[in-house]
Amino acid sequence: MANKFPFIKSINFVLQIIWYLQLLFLFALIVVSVLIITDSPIVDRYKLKGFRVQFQRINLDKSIAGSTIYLSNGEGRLHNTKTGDKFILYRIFSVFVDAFLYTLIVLWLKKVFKCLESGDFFIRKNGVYIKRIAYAVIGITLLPDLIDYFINLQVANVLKIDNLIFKARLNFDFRSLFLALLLFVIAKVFIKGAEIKEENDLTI
Amino acid sequence: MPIITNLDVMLAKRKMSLTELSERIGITMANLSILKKGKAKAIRFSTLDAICKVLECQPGDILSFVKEEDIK
Repeated sequence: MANKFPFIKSINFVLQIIWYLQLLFLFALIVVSVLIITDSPIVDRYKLKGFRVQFQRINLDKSIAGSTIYLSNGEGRLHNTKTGDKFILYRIFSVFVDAFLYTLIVLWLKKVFKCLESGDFFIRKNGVYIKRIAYAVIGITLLPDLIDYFINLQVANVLKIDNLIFKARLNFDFRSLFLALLLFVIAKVFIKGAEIKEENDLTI
Repeated sequence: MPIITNLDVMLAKRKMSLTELSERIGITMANLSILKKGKAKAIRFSTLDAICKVLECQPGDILSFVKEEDIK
């Protein structure tokens, strides 16, 4: 049966590799996070103190021929040696949420493709896994951006810098949300398909 | 489900085994077993027709309606 689906088999193989890489990444992330939190000399925390911020306006000191010059609506990394450690911890948390959700997505995708490889297309389990993937995609779209938004909000409140106006804005990727909606539909199709198949199997 | 199958009763009356019925109507033992145990969700007219022909009975002899309270 498995030889009938060489494409699915090859995707399953690639997913297996991605799964191990993801686990490796998670392990590395945990190690680095522990080193950062324990203030280990191996990791240079000073380098980490730069964090991504969004600015609304940066007024430049110099003016040309009496006109005011400023930068607006941009994004960059702000480096401040006196920045509190909590921003670093927030960023680590954000990366953890991202990595955890990606790991779950890869795990569930692996399970779906394992079922597909064995020829079990319309089984309830597949629909349930796809629905979980849809929730995880929503999580990946919303959670890290929400965390970033609150960090930027705090930065805007805590750091008062002359000539610089910070801004905090939610930057959701709506394409991912539409993808999640599509996944919900596919999950429903799989669950309904499993019900019809079961009914068909039990019709004598 | 309130519809129950009396296939085992009819088989006993006709002194016929499930294997023999299976061979004569051309339905697998697995499927007939599902029907006998009452796990089937539906039965085709063609199946019912074949069973009635072989067992020389009416559909009502094989299927009967029992109220859910009576089952409990």
